[in-house]
Amino acid sequence: MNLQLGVLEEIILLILLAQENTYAVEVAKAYEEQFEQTISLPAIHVVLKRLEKKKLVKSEMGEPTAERGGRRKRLYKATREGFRIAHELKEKRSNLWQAIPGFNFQSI
Amino acid sequence: MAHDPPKWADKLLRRICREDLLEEIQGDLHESFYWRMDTKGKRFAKRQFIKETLLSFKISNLKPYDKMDRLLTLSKSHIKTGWRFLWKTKAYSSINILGLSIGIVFSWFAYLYASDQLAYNTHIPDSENIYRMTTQVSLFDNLINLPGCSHVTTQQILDELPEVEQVARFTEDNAAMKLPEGTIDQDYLIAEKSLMDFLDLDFLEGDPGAFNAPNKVVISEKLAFKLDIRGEAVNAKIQLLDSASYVTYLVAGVYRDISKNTSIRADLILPYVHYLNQSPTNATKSSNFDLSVLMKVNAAADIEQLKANIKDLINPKKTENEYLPKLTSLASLHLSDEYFASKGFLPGGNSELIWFIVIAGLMCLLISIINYANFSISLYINRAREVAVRKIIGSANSGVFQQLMTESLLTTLLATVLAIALYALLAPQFSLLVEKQFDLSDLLSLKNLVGLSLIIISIAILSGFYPSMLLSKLKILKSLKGEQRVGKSVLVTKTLLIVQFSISIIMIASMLVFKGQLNYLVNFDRGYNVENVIKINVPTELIGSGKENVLTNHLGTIPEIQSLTSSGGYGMTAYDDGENQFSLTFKNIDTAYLEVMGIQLLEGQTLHAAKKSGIANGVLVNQSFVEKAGIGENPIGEPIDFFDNSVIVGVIKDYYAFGPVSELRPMLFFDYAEERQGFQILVKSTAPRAVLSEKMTAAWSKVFDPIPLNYDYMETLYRDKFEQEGKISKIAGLGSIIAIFISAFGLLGLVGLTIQRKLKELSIRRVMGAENRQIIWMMIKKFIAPIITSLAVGISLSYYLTEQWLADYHNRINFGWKQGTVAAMSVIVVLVLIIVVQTLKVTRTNPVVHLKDE
Repeated sequence: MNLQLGVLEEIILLILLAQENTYAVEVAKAYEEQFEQTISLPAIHVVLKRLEKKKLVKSEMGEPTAERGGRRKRLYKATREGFRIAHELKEKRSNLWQAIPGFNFQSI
Repeated sequence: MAHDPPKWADKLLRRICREDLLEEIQGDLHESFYWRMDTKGKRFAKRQFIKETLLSFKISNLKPYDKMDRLLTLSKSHIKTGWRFLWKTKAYSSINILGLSIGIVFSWFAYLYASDQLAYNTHIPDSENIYRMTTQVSLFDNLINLPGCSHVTTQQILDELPEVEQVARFTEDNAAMKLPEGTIDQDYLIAEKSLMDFLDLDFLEGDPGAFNAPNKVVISEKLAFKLDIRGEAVNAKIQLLDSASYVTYLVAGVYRDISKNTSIRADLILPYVHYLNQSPTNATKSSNFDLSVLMKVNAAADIEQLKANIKDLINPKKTENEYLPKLTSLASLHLSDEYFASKGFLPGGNSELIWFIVIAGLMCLLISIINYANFSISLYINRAREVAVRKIIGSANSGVFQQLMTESLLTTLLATVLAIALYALLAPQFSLLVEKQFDLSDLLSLKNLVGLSLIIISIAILSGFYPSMLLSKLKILKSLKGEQRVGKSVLVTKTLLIVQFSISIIMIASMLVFKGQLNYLVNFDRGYNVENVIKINVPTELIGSGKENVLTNHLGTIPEIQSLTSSGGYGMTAYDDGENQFSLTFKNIDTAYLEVMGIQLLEGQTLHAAKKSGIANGVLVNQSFVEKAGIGENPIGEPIDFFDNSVIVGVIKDYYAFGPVSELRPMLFFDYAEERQGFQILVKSTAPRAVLSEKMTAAWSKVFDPIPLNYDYMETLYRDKFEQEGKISKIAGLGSIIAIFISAFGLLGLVGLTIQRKLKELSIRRVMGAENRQIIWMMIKKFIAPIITSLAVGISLSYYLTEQWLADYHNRINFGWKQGTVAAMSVIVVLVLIIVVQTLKVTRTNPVVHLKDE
């Protein structure tokens, strides 16, 4: 399977894997907590749409809540395929990491 | 909630975003807004919200075209109705559009001209740090500007002052040059290589190298085309006339033509060594100040300090008359008050002229905007019902407002199209007026497009805003019944009218003042008469060989020439007799000078007569001299410290040798035929110009062939001095014609409005037997107050403004009743004419038509 994932796509996929049934604002919160920098919601929307198109996440409309002025939100959930791809990426990364000799950077 | 997301951004999102996505996107944005407000504060949250809203406008999020009803289909309908309305009121709208487009064209011209002049020289890299050096010396009461510095001193400045990084020395000359199709008189610069670096010349062919070899030149692309050597120019030959024979030069390089807004431009540059060889003293003498100098100064240097250092260098000995260096940066050179053209430096711009053009342009624009507003309001009776129907169907105030603003935009757009056509039509005339080439490409350059579109958009908003506000607030029922009161709008239209009238009066009055002053200057009694007098210019390098006297003899044999005189130029020196000190202007003249110039001898005898009676060193002085030197009692026979044993033999009447702009100066005349510096020949002849020209050319060629004869009519030279006054009065004339033209249009609308509102009253009066003149007088009465107000405002403002301008002139006219009355009368006549025509149009119809409505 040769699915290409961007860095932001992968991060958001991981956030979705950690929290089931979450939505864009929650993703933004988790992202900002982790990286301590602001991310814009439209950027997240785009990534979520893209992940959904690749069938790595699926979505459904949630219940209306008061803080959104009674608007419903779109809840996202990672799929089995999403987990598999994320896991595969992690494996490949750690393989690569093992090939990096530690001493190279000790001298820096 | 205390703080909400910015409403407009929210609205925008709702309007543009696809409906099925709106809920989730908007929900997310709102939620994150509150979250961010809690964590990072209100300002950050707001800014982020706006940013995120704008970022959400992706094609996938947008509503499909046909569903964007509020935005697109409505605009389409606005445009359609707007167009229909414009078409329905063809006559009014075309007048309106024409007025607007004239306003637009003139503001464009003003914008282009001003931005061009302000940007002069700024395209040169580092132009703020390249300075032109001139020198000033005071001669008692006069400050004399010298055009530059000497070779020796500038070398010293470069060597000894570390803040001066580089100097470029140059001068200008001209010579006959051979072209494939004959000879032309070609101006050229003699310059150091550093000048090319300063000006950042872009070489297309070849390369000047160190530019030391005397036989190498560089030429512009334009000249290369003229010589027909473009493409193979390197080492091509150029022939320039040097006093008697042609000298051959080799082209070392071809540079891209120097941009039109540069103070130093030339098509041909010769190496600097020609300057050093021109005269043996050029390379050694430090006390001449005629070499043009630019110096590049370290950006961190203190200019005042630098000036002080240079001052020490050029005044090695402490003397009373110190030379003061003046430094002006290239960037500010063009419009500097102290700038004057000299060898290599082209004439500067004129900040006064820029101001006049900008003010005239803005006033024309203002008048046309006021017109639009007045027109829209006056057409409002026609529209009241349309607006009411719109509102009944369900349009909100804002909907009506949008409709009317769309119309204003549409009108402005049409006016712009017309303006572009007008621009193309008028550009050549305008270019002629300001002596600067403008064409369509200037209008369409990117930088200017931004400024020009800003003008257009502000017109649309300014002109449409008020009427749209007014109309959108109409009450439905009253409008339908035809009872809508205009209320405050009368006050506003009257105010606008006053502004318009005042501007027209200012334009007309100042035009009259400018024209009056120009006429006054041209027809000024200068104390001499040079009608039919021709000045023959003999180039300096041809003088001294005795040939000039041969020429004078040849000219003397031409029967058409009534009289002829040779003289030197005007010189200036310090006069000091122990008691009185002043600067003295002197001139070396021959016997016939006074007669040719028509200068009156008041007492004593002429130099010629004095010589005959044995007084060898006689001089003539003028009245001002007698007054300043305090020898009023009996000046004749008074000894004077000028030459050895010189004595005053006669007093001549004062005359304005330097034109009426300057004061009368003390003058002295003597006759020393052996050496006349600044030699010139004046010839008086009433013969037809063509005949005379032919005979003089023949005489000239016998002596100075192949150098072409160069002469001017003195009267033309005098008129040329007032070129700037001529330009300003032309621009004021143009502006006032346009102002009165456009305001007449506006008045047409306003009078129409007043009559429309009084239609029933007028009709009843007519049924009761009122006569036309009574009705006309009734209408005129309504305009008496605004016209008196604008007369007061307009005339006092024009008095103030023209007084500012006239203050610069030593001899001047005053703003008087004549100008005020003519300006006032022309406005009043236009007003009355329009009222009469409009009223008569109504009284021709049957009054019943207007009365049977209810």
